[in-house]
Amino acid sequence: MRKAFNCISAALFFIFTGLFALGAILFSDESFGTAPIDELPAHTEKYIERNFPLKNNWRSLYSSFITAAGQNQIGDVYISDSGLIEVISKTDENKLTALIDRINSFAAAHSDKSIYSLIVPTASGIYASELPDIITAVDQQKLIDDIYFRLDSSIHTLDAFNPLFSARDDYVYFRTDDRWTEYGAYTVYNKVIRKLGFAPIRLSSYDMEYADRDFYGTLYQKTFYNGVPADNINIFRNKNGSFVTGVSAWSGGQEFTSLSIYYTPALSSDNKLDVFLGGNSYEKYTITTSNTEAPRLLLIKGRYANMFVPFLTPHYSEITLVDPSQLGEKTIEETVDVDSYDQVLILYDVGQMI
Amino acid sequence: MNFTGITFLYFFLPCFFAVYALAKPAMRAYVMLAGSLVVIGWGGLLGLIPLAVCILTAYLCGAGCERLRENKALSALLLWICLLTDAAAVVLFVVLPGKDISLFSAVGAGIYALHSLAYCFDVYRGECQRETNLFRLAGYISFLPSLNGIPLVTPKETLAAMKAPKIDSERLANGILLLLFGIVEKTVVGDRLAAIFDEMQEISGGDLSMLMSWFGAFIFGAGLFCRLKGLSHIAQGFALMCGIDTAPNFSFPYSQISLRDYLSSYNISAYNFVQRYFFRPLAGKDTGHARTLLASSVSIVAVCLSYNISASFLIWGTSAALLITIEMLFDHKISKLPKPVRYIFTHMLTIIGWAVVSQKTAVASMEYVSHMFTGALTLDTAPFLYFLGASAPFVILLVISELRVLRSLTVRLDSKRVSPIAIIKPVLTFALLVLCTVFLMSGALPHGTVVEV
Repeated sequence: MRKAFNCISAALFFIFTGLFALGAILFSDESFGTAPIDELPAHTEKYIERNFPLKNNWRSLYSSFITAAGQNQIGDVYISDSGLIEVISKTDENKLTALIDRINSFAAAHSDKSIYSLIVPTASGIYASELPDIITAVDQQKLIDDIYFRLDSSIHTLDAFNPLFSARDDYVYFRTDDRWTEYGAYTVYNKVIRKLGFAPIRLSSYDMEYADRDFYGTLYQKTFYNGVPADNINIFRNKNGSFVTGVSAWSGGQEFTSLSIYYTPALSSDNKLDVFLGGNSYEKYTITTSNTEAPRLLLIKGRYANMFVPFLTPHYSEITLVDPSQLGEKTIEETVDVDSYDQVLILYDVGQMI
Repeated sequence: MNFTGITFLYFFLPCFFAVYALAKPAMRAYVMLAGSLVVIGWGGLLGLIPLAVCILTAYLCGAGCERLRENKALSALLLWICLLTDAAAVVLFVVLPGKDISLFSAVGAGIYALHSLAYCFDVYRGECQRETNLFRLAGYISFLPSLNGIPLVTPKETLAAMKAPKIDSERLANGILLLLFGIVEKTVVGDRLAAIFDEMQEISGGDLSMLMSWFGAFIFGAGLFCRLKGLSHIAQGFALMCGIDTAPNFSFPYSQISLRDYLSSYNISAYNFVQRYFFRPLAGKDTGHARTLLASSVSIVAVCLSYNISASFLIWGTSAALLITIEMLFDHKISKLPKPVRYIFTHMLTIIGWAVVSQKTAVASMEYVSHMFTGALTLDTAPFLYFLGASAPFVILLVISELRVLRSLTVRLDSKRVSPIAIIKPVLTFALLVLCTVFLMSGALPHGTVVEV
């Protein structure tokens, strides 16, 4: 009897481990590849981790265990009642200073241009009160004020914090991603567009299309926590029709063209938020509109800009977006003719700046 | 290769064990040696050089010591050569190439040097016969289950067991269970407590209140204990699977009522090693109290330094030696104190010890200890409750695992003819394997890393 149970125990162990090991090798989607002899062990371990059967289920179970043990934080992601919040608890002063210096140098070089700066807080800044006292998140309102204070006085600063804070009970940030929603972007647009010299288009002028109701963003992929409902990706379509006449995007010297700012095939990919302008992998985008008499805007973009652009298209004849993080060695001036634009908008989120 | 990794549990262990089980008992020492070479080589081919040096010095010095047993001076010289060569090999090929001398890596890398030294010393003293089979000796020096740094095994018993280890279903099933239990202890409890302590340090910015500093030191000590105990159980379970019995390495240190008992029940193999190879030669046959105390102090410092060679550990070792010396000197008076008082006093001192070694530098250690006595008297409820809540499930698991009554109950139940322990063993094995996989898979990536879906 005892021997039988011992044999079952041992057999269970070896069958389970053996099957999973075989599964990792036989049902792998990727080839093992090659690696130098000294890097072979690390290469093998990474290959196994990537191809281990049911890897996401194991991680999801881990989140369940951790939360069941009473912990609400996995890594830097806090699990709140309303969703997942990436906690920004530190600032990289060197990185921030370097970025501010670059912006000020840019402003000094183009002093004749109207330059605007819009720094958007992340969910960690807006929902700081939902975090336990023990979690010391950066005070983003104070940080944004400090950044604006350090920017050249010729740069017009735009407030994104207060509109988002006022609308914090609405769906302004994704529950499972670290970016704002299209509605969050509209909330800020509605307040800041007057400073850019335009009257806002009312929300009632838009039809809201539920492009996807089953979106799990980057914070979910960090935690695999299943206790938060999936997000919706909403597309705001102007009832008067789209103003966009063409979109061009450049990456690695190649040009990609489209008639819409929404790249709907992305909705069936792993990066569903790429539905907005095809994602963040392009160095430059140019959007032309039917408002040929309207001014031209140069938007120096961060990760949040793609969701903001749809609301700007009715006001400009052309919007060019430049992503400095994709330029490599090139400068903004080498990428676009800054002088040919009427306004320049710098749009970053706090998470990207520090 | 990390013994608490998916590669080890799902790939190395089944493959190794298949070959090991199929080999004839007399050949299993060779398979074990091959396994050790894979594990050491996996971490870096350079690691094979000190191993080769340690094996060769042990083989040659062991042979020399036996042949020159009558000539004490020459055989002692050989012993010193063995000691210096092994130490030089570890320093040259492990320490100098930049590997940190941390708890696990230094002891892990130095384990074959210590095994080599232990073997030569025992042959020198005539307590162990020279091993003529170089490969079996190599198997002992690089004893595969101990390659995660703990525990040290004795040459005589291990070499005898390695001659023809027999695998049976009872040992195999118990070994698997112990190994999985060890992984859970280390990754689920130990690593989580260590992470909580790091979080406490980060949040407080080094400015802890009195309450939090005591609690933090306790959490650090508990985390370290679970990690060491887990690694010991992994080694013990692995050895048991291979048909080799090793002694338990921890014996309820949290229920001891004196510092000496605490030290001797915590990492027993290291304690015994120092006792055998430091204390006895230093104390000699002299029954004088002073020399015994001196030998004891040096041995305690050596035990503490065996965990990590740093100023903090030196302070810890020296203060532990001093306290134990005081305890020995006033033993007759201390033993008259009520047991609860002795218990509280002993564990307060051990918590202070953990506070010392919890910091990376000696200055930081001193600052931390000073917070324990001069820190703010505020009852910082919010952080304290947060960390109390975060660590409570893991501390409860630790307390349960340290209950003597649970151990005796398990033994009693297992001795019955129809043992309930034997019946639930398959379920327990499966549950532990799932739990291990959950934590090993999530530990494979740093928290907060986006995984490609």
